[in-house]
Amino acid sequence: MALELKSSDNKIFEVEELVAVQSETIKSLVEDGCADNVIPLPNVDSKTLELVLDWCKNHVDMKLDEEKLKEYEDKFIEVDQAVLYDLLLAANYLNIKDLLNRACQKVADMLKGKTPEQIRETLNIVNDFSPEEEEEIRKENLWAFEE
Amino acid sequence: MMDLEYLPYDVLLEILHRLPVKSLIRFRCVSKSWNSLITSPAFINSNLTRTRSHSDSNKLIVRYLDVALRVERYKLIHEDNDNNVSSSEEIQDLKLPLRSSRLSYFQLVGSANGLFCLYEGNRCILWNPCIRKFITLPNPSVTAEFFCYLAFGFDSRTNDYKVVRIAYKSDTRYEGAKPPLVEVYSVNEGSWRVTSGGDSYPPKITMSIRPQQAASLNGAVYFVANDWGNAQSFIVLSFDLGDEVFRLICLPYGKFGSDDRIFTSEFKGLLSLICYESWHYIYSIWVMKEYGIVDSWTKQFTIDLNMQYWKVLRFWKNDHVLVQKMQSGGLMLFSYDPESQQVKNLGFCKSTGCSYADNYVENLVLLDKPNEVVPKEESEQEEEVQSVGCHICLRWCSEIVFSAKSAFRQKITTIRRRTEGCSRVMWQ
Repeated sequence: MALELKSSDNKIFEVEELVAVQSETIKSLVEDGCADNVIPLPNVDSKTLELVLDWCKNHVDMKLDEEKLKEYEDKFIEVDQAVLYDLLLAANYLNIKDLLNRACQKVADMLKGKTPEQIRETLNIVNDFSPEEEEEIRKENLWAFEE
Repeated sequence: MMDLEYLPYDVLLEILHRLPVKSLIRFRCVSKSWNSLITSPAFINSNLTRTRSHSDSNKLIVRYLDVALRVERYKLIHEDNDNNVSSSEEIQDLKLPLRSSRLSYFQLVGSANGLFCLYEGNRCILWNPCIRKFITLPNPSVTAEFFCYLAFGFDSRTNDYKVVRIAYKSDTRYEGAKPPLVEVYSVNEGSWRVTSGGDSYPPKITMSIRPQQAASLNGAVYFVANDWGNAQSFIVLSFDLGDEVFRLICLPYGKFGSDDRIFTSEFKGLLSLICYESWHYIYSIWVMKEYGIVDSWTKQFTIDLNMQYWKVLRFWKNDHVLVQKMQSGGLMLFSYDPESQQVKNLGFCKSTGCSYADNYVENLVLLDKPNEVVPKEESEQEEEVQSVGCHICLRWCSEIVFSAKSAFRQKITTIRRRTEGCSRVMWQ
């Protein structure tokens, strides 16, 4: 059985139900009988949705081949930062556990070695510490700032 | 909150939980909300649950002593799948910032998940080498007329670390003797609390060795004790950190002699006994395969020491044993394979005192507690200390310390008396 998903930029994707229900969000819509018409996904653009559906499809196809699946996942997650964040937000919105875990791990690995300043830049965070307050934390934990 | 606008809160949490401790501490500086998130008790607790459940790594943390320099150090070691042991980069010769004021270093109560409980006299401290933070516990309220036993463990049901203090008021060898009073310190509560643990203290039971490092596993602490109602035979006395009740676990009948030295330990999550048969220079390792079933005590393996002096420290996940062996120049760490009986010198953590090892899990415990300043006099004290190592009862090493200065001559005589019962004392 096929479902129709509509991305934020109004592109329609026709997907098999088995593939689409990898998303817990879509799965509950199907179970509640709300999936007869096109399912709008206003939080996911077509570029990201295409990638997400590729993930889902391969997880159905390669379900029994662990090694092949791992190889696919490793390659899949090697994307640039902007795409990674879009995937992360999409996986969260669509509630796709394994994609979310993988994306979170990838982001964590990226953030691991960074300085607080780099984190703020990457994630668009305002520094609301005064220089003295920030210095106090650094002083107490000098070892964490050494490389 | 402005800064969390970009990432949904629970996604941010998922990412933070996957970061190593060093990064988490650094990222406290990112913003005020990140700082309060990372230092919140909820985050600290869930972080521990996550790392514990994902922990399939074979990491141990070793505490070793440089008696001459009055320094206690901590190092992470790791054994990979090819049985190569390496010392991990993360904690390199970490020194406890606090110095003991009387002895060379603190006495060890025990550890859990890499969090250490140390004491001297009535002063008890908890030390987390992972985030390099310590706290001093407030004074307990119960006084002991005889002596006290301390134990330290982790209660996974409440995600809480607890220090147990058992204060004896009478000689419990005899029928009708007053049971000890039991006080428990909980890290979550931040205070001591007198319990009714003494009510369940079994009659005619005394602790075997003093001091003793009680093994902690599965939410309880385990002491080796003597049953005076049964010809002074060895028995295991447990104290459950959850229901705060004492229980007894019998040992296999007729397997232990009164000259044996027995220590409780953990072997792959099971209660284990490390038995040193002094007359035969053999270690025998017993494991309780089914908890509470006396018949399930199994002699896992023996180590024939061939007249050498070893101390068994900890079991790796792959059945190898981490041991400390006396070599010229100090006590060295070795890895022993019971199957092949091969020993491998690890080449690090040379110690002039007894070492100790525990399973290690990265954790943030104590991060939310106020910082303590190291008192200046203690950190700057430089005394000349000579050390004495005893390799027959290696566990006593830490107590046999004296200073060359005349003011401490008294200490020398006292310590010598303590070691009278031991036939072999090596002077360095």
